[in-house]
Amino acid sequence: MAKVIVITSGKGGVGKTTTSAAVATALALRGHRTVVIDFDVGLRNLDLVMGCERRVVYDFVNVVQQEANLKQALIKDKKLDNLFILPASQTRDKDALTIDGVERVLNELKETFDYIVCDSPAGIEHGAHMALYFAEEAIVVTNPEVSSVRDSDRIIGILQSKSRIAEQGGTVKEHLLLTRYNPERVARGEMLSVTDVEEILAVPLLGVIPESEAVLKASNQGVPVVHDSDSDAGQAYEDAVARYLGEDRPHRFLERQKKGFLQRVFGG
Amino acid sequence: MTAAAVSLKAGSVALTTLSFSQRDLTAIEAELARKQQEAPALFCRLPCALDLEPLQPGDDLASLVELCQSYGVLPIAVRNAGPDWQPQLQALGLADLGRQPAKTSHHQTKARQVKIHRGNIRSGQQVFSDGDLIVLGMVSAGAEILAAGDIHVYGTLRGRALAGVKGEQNAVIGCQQFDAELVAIAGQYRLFDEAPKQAEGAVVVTLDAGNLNITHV
Ligand SMILES: Nc1ncnc2c1ncn2[C@@H]1O[C@H](COP(=O)(O)OP(=O)(O)OP(=O)(O)O)[C@@H](O)[C@H]1O
Ligand SMILES: [Mg+2]
Repeated sequence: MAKVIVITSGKGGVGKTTTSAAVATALALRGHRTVVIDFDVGLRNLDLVMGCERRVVYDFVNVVQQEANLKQALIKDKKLDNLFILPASQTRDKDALTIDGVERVLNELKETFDYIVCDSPAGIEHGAHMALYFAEEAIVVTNPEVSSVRDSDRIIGILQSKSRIAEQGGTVKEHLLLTRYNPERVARGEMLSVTDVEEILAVPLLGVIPESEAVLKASNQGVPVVHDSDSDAGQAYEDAVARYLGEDRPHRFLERQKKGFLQRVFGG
Repeated sequence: MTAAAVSLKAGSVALTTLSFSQRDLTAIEAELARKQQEAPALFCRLPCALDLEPLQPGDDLASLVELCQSYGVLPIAVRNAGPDWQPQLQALGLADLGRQPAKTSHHQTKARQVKIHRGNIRSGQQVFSDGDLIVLGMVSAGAEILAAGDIHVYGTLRGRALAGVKGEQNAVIGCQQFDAELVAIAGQYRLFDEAPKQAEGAVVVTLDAGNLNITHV
């Protein structure tokens, strides 16, 4: 039974693409056949984070518009045989995605995959709507700041009223993923705490990903951060996916840690 | 057995009365526009009776009806219309409710309808009840709830809550945790632009002699 998961946030730049790559990779590492789709048509970021940008020939829009078939467009991950990427087009606009077209592609993917991870664009417009419309579960990516939390709240409202499941009277399962968490700034009162965000959003907490240089390094190298199993962010993502799959793991990285050399240099 | 082509069923519906303090259409339009802004959900094909008391039979009722319609109010009847009004009423197909005081609070004789909303109301969402509104969940900042009657939130109220939006002065707002952006009863509102310091606890808002009272319980 394939599961469609949307990674969404409302606000831009909070870590959706980073999360999509990490979650898809972690699912695949645990043996699940996984595909990750870039819905951010026109910007195309996921292929960079997954390190497959030089292998894009056909893209998601081509498949939706029936200019290419799935086999031609799916890119196999460099490291994992059971992980595939469906990249976005950089040259088309978001209106190229249609409900019917997206549904057809998702149905075809459901025949082969266990998990379909949809990386949503920012905002609440057409592209974001397309990404969430067929979702059965949503990972709501939020940064510990007021505007991000407000946008997440808004997108949850849309998820529970405008998705297909909602239209049919059901509920999309929600998970809260707090990213770019900086305990020092929380302690100084510059950022909201985990408890604050949980209380405002009233969504079960899937995980907290610390602000980490490992993420930047991973993106630059095109290797999703979960492969960096020594890093805090890599471990936090791996924990989150384990919890998603039903394991009981305590939350980590919520407290201030001793400053390492890099943190002292760059100011953590 | 064949069903009758027409059957009559007695029933009563609450009917809003629109009263005017002056005869000037421009002033009336400005006020309608303001009220519509305040509660857009209310002004959506809202059936109502026009109180003709302050108007004079020579006044152009057709234009007034048209104006109301353009703001989402549907006049279906009039109150306090003398015999001189009858030709206009006939022409416009409006019912005559006779001489009645406008302020008959219907809810005292008849149970109000209650809308129960299960779940949270998120930023950007709006929920309206023609009677009372009970929310089994929280109301986020940026969300808006409106009711002709009372509002009760079994959770935290962080958004805007407007009770008695059709003029019911006895309407109340209650919530388990109070952190609202705005509360209003019968048009009297209060903004809370500065976030209060943490957990305000349960609160009841009432309107007494034109003043909003916020009581911690
Ligand atoms: N945990 C983290 N620690 C440090 N940097 C992070 C973290 N998560 C994301 N970033 C950085 O934040 C930036 C935005 O991340 P990302 O592209 O994943 O966000 P997005 O939500 O997909 O953005 P968009 O809305 O533009 O699609 C990137 O530079 C990324 O490297
Ligand atoms: Mg992105």
